Amino acid sequence: MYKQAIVLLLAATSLAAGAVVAEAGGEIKVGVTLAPTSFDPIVGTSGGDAMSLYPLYDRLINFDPETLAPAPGLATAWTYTEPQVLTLTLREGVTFQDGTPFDAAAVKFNLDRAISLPKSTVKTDLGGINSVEVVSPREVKINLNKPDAALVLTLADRAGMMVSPAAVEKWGDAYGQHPVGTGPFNFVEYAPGDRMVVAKNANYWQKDQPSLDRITFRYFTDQQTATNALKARETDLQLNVPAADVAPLKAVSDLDVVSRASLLTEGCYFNFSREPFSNVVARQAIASAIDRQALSNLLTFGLAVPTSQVFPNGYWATDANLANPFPFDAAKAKALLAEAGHPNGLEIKGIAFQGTSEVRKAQIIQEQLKAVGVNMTLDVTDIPTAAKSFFTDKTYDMICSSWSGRPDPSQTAESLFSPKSFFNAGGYLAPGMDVALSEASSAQDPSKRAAAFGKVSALNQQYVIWLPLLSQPNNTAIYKNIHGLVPNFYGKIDVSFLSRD
Amino acid sequence: MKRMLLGRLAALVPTVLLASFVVFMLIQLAPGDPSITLAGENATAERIEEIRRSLGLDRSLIEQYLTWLSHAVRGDLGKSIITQESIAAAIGRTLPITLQLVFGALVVAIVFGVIAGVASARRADTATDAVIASVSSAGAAMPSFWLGLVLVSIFALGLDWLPATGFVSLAADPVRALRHLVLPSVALGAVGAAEIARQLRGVLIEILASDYIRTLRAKGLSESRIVWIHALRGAAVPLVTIIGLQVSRLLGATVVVEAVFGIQGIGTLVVSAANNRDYYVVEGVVVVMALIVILVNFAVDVSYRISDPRIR
Repeated sequence: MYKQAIVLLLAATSLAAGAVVAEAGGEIKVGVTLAPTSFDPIVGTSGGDAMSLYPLYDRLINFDPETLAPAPGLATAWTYTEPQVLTLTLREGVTFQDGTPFDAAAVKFNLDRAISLPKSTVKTDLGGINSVEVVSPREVKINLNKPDAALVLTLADRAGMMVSPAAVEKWGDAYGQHPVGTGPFNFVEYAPGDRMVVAKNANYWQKDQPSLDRITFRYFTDQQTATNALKARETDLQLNVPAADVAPLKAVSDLDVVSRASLLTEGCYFNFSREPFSNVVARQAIASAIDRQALSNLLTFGLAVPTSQVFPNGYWATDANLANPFPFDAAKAKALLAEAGHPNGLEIKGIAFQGTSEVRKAQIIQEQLKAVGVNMTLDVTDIPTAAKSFFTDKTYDMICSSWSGRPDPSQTAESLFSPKSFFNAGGYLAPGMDVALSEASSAQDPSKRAAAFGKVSALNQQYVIWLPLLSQPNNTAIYKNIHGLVPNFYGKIDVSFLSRD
Repeated sequence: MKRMLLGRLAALVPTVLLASFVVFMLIQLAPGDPSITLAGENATAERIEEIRRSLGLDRSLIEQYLTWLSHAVRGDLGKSIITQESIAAAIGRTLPITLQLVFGALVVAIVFGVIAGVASARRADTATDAVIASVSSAGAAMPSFWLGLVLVSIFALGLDWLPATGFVSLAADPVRALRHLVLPSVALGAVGAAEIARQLRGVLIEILASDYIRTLRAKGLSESRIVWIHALRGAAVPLVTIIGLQVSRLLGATVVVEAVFGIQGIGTLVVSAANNRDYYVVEGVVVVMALIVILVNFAVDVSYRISDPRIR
């Protein structure tokens, strides 16, 4: 009898405890290897910033994590009322963390600032905007100088993160140290390169959100250190876990590793400004020489998916029916080399970014090329040096790196295939590419846009402009008592709406 | 002596100037510049050139250096090109972290180094001596980042005795600070301990065989008194020299250990600045580090004169 009573009592207490646990609150520590470059969204320079900015800022447009299709954010509706006019309807009842109301004037302030601020890193992305008009407190008209379908998803990234106009006026140049958005968390403090602390925004517009009281981001320069911190439970989750760490972390008890296909694609850039890669046949030879599956096995333990398109499988801009015209075929590679005028093989100069995985990737490719008679020398250096030598000075023939993806596929396509882009060394324009690119960015109908991206990808395959190799999954290691992780195609995780027990 | 010291102090100025000039030229000789980083993710070649001009990077190196120098002599080290943080503030934030780490490593190096050095000198050419000699050779040969990783996997991940990463200031919370300091200090201080042990052994063996020690023994002083007080005092000059050298070495070596333990010290600051071509941050850090090293050497010099009256 007593025993039963005790058991019942215990059960009741644990139930009560369970109820307490399920309630909102608590703090989590997030491990990240990319420290933010600025808390002013339009000044930051690295794609890694997004993960630190999401808790502070809402964006005008969100994206569906599964498909990356546009979804309501601070704007509840967006329509091209004319081909060159994008009208946004804004959400009601939203205020910035400092109490400033969020309205059409605030949107105009933000977009004007993003276009005019000398330090803005989104000027190019917003280059199509002529003017921004406040129609009513809830409605904004964006006038474009040409049809620009990419603008909607551009506003799902840093360009669409809304900052408080009052805070910008108050702090001026120092705004980046005092960020104020409409997001679910208020900025508390940042120790540069070390940690950022944010605390729950009690007035957040989404009901019952966020669940957590506090999030601490810890930044690590060394991947192994980040992993150690996770294993020692000094962090609760680790974002962007490299493929090599996935299996060892899965073996840790209480730890899950969640993997999801992402836009991050491994691939090679060519120097079109000189021989041999000014010749398309020589580039086709390189495409045929690379065994993508072997590369995936050696570099990522088979986790990354071989691809001949710059977009991953299952993405709306990817053409599932497109066959790779230059699959791995050593004999064909040699024949193409001979056709390109190099029957006795070829000497090329390669360069790679420093970092274990970058160097390994370059070395595996170096070996694969050697097998068909292409001898690639390899210099390894830091990113600014390599970028300057390859893209500006054009003193190397090939660099194998990666492309991290953008919310709108036009941004990726323009950056890799437009002759005006920095990343196009030699300003190469494939026949028909300009037409395909402008179709892809101007078509209003999503299926027409998708078809245009199919053309872009087919041209890229044929002319080997950027050589896609592997589509990398995005991996997050997370302890089992943390819930609500939503991985996304973009590969940048928003930790704002997690909860813990 | 006063005149000599003032002279030495005055000599600091050209040394620091020279260091700042050489570093300014060296880092700008490396290809790549901050404009590529600043242009962001969707850069056009045109935009990068525009930023280059706005940063004044199209001016001659000498012109840029003189501009920097004219501000620096007035105590203005400028702002980071990349993060816009004031460089003086960045150094003020990271230097105490590194100094705490260097201090911890120095304590480890001196305590273990002196104990091992004395023990092996007293038992010269015995098994104990051989063991200490091989351990300290291993210590001197061990890269500190590797030792750090081994220590973390044993004491933090395996035994869960100490934290694996992070840093707490001694002023904020001494107990937690010490717990965080143990592993990085050992990782960083091991090489120094080995160095001190080996040098001290050599010096002490010589001293222990000298006439004045024999006299002390004859007078009936206890052996430990002789070794720990009289012989060590005799070894003071070489000991201080080694310690002084260790400080300079530790300031440089801290960067690797900072990365292993996730500590954002001045080493991490300067490495990331160099990687991003954040010229003025690199320049500011180097000048401050050069000043510290020169001042430590100066202090060592002064201490010679105090501990050994023959050096004047």
